[in-house]
Amino acid sequence: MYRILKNQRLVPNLYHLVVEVPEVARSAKPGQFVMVIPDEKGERIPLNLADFDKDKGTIELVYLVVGVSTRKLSRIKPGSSLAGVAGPLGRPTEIGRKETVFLVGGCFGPAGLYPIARELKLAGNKVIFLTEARDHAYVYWEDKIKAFADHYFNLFRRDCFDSGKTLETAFNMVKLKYPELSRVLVMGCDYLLHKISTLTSSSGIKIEVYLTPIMVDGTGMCGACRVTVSGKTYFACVDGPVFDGHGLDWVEYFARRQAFLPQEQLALGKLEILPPEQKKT
Amino acid sequence: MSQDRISLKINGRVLQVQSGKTILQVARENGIFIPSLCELEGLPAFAGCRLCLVEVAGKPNWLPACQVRAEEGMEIITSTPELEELRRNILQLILSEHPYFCLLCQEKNTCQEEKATISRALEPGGCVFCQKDGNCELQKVVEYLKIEKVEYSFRDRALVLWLDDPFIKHNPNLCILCGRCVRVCHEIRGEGVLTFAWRGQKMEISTAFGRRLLESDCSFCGACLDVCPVAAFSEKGTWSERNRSLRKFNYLCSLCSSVCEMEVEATEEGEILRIHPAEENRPAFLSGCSRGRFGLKELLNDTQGSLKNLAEVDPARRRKEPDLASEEVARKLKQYQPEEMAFIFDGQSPLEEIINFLEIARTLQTKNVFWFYPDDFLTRLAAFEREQAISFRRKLEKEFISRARTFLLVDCDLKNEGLKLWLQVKDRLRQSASLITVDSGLNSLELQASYQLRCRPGTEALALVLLQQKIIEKKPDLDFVEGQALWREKIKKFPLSSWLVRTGLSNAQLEGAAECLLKNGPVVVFFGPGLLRKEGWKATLAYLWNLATCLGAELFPVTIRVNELFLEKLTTRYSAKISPDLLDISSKIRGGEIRAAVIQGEVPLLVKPEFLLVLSPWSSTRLSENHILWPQNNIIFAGGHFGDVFGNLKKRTSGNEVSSGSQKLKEILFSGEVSAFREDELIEELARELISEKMERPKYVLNVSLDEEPGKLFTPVTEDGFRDLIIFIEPNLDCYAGRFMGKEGGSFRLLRHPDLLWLNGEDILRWGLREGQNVILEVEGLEFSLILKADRRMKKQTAVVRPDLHHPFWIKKYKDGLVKGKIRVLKN
Repeated sequence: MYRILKNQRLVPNLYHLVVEVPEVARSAKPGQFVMVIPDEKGERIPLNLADFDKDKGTIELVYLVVGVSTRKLSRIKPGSSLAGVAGPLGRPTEIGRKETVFLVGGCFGPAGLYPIARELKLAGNKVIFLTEARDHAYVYWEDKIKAFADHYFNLFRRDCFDSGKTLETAFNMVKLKYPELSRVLVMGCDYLLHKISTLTSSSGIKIEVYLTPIMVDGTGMCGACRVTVSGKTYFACVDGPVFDGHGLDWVEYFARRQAFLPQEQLALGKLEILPPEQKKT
Repeated sequence: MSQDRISLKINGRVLQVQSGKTILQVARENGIFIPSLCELEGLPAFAGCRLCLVEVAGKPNWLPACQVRAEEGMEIITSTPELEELRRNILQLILSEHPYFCLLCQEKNTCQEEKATISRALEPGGCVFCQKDGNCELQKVVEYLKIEKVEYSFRDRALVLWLDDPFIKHNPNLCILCGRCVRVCHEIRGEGVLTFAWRGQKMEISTAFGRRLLESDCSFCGACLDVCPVAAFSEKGTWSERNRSLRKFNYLCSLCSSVCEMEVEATEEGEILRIHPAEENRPAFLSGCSRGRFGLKELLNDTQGSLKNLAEVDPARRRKEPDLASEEVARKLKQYQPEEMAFIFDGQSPLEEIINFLEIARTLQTKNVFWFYPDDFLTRLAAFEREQAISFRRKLEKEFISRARTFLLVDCDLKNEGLKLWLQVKDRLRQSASLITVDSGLNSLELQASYQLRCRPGTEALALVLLQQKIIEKKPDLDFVEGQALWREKIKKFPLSSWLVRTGLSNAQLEGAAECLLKNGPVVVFFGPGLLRKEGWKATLAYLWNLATCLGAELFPVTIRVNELFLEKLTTRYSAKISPDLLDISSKIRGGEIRAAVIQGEVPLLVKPEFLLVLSPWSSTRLSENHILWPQNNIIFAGGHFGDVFGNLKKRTSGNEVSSGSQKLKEILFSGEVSAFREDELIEELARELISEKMERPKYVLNVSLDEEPGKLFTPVTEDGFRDLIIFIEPNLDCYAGRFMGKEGGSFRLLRHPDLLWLNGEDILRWGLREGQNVILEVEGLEFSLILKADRRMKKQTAVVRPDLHHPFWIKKYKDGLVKGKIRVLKN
């Protein structure tokens, strides 16, 4: 089965999961995701691939604990196994040559962008990497990413109110320093994706956002993950997860993401009051 | 404390205040705000957060306003630029270990709209994800001090969250170490479960040895939830309600005689989110327990849903709306003769409901009215009073407790049986009063007592006589009341030395307790219903009376169940019977004597009569074609009066708009006569009656016959081994409307499993058993499968069960108090 080798808290609310899934590890490409089922009665949730090792047959995931399934996931002990892993799914990120690419990651984003940065760097691109976090305590994998980035820097939320550094100033700084900048990849919470898309709308730079809509099967059958980009409907699971941030219908996207909030709250409440397993002595 | 008034100056304002108050209290009373995080009204001062530092003229240092008492002529300044700077710095240090980003973020108002995940993640990284958002004391202080930036970078303490306990979860990474939970747990509730662990940067709130709450002594009263200023302690299954519309209403919990005022928060759909002590009921942490707070919520959320679908799930269980079935009910009930009918009601309903029930029975001229309580404590007590021409005080005035210096608990587990009473006693203990317990079973207060007279089962009477003998020895010139000289002579004749061995008490214990009772001042004696269920209870009670009389002590019976004191009066008035022998009723039904029954709540009838009307929010009773169930939510939330342990009547005003079942029944049976019943007047009369009993207790000792040995000794039979037990059957308070709460789903089952067998931990080890193991308890040929639970307070070779009293065997045995049995290991 899908044996868990590691399931550890990285920073508050973010967990690092290493699972043995040789078939996924064999064919995975940067920018793809997998569907994970935490336990027998669990639902399928999509998680970005944070790393994969063909030789060891392992994949790595960094996930944010937000709802029932991720809560369940965070409590599985290393040594036990996941009920299901399907993947790799979604289209891999296009890797060009000799481009200057600006990667912006927040939350689980830096982990998901890490294999992309590595691939971009190895293909001869110039990689500028920005980790957006609340404070230094929320930054992880800094050294790991630095190895594949020409320029790495952090942007802290507290800087916003301390020294006035915001996403906007950071973006302008990068544009000034690297006038040849042609591509921006953003992965993280919807707020970050939306924010950067709005900031850069007049800059003429191509912005690619990694969307995280609600998915059911992840293979293009159900259509739960549909998004509208430039007036055309796409399924994020098979056509994405990367889309043009400037063309995306953000209003629809946010509305669809919040569609099941009351049910999610109810389910989380029910999960919490379930009696925990008796400790075996 | 002196009542003098002193004058002092705060911020230049001259104030005349009562002495003995702290600066913070004085300032607050006069509308001067001093920020504070660790101080809370009702809790002992701690001076931990240092936010309330003030400047006092003539003092070299700043002084914490929460701890320093206001003195004559003090000149206090609560706010100077220097002080504000200091406070801001302190607060920033606190914030550097508490996720504060949302507090200062300019975009906090817009991000909520674009947030696509639920408002509560595992560990809130900012306010918008936090369940205390909008209700957080830290937020308020930050707002007051106008913090705009935090100089220190955030430190993630990376402590492990407590998620394994029922009801309560703890996120130590949010904790600001104000110590309120530690103080309320230790000093107010007397649990002493929570404590500070480690030192310096590593300091956190923990239990002893980091055990989870379920494995420590936690009773899940939830006081830590009430006092936590942030969301470090929070209730499971709840979330931030900032953007939700909720229905809130107050109600009185009628699960036990404490009758706490609670507040219910429910969704529009009717699901109960939270039940917690009502805001008006300050301090809130002085009421509420796991039953009324968590158990009831789980019970209602679980079963209300099932009731909605009852008809679809099982057509045999006929559920009918009162309006539709009223004609059928009226027609059927009128078919039967008065003596063929039985009315059985549940005492946890409002008194009005019960009076209605009794009135219906009286109008129908039936004598078969039963109050389903498995306990007949007060009936026995009343019989004893009549026999001896004495009377016990029922109404408990507050000054008895506030005056007392010594409390003697005889077979009375006050924490479980009268929570509010215990909290008041506990308050006295903090002010150096002492506690003495005389108990042979499991008493949760034993560890708090100065002297624990843990006698062998059935020897309570001997212990009381021994105690009295010590008192006489110590003070032979005690000002004796009528009959005492004779009594003293009698006591001397008792074979005391052999009794000492039989009770298992030590001389030193008795000496100490006697000394304490004599020297410490006014004594208050509480005794519980358990005392009157044991063999030879009359002698025990007489000895207790004599002991109290000699000491000049006040003597109170502690009732466990709500309404008990008032129901005693009501049932006498209507000649209803308390605690029916269900076996007896069943045999009457079988024999055809009773052919119709109206039941309120859940009463376990072994045989069903021809016609049965059940007024209940649930029905687990198997109903057939002729039986009707009227769904009734009103017994939980209906308005009405409830009587508490102090003899007070409390009124529950608000509630759901659900028609009362008994009211409906009254209307359909005799439509013209409804106005003739005057519940209000009757209730007022009851209250008056109880107050009028405030007479002086007669000062004479009771004559106890010497021929009979006081308190028959109950020894375990040890013929074939070591696993013979004396079993205490204790009341199970976790029932609502006859339904056991722990049987329903959810975490309450973990805490209060109905099938637990409590044993002494040493016994468990000695017999090669282990905690949590399934065992078979054999009592008089019957077998019960139970789970072992260890408790160090148990006496050896004794066990405690709190059985589901729906089993007729247990009801019968319950009245005897003690039974003999043996256990054996269940082989898989």
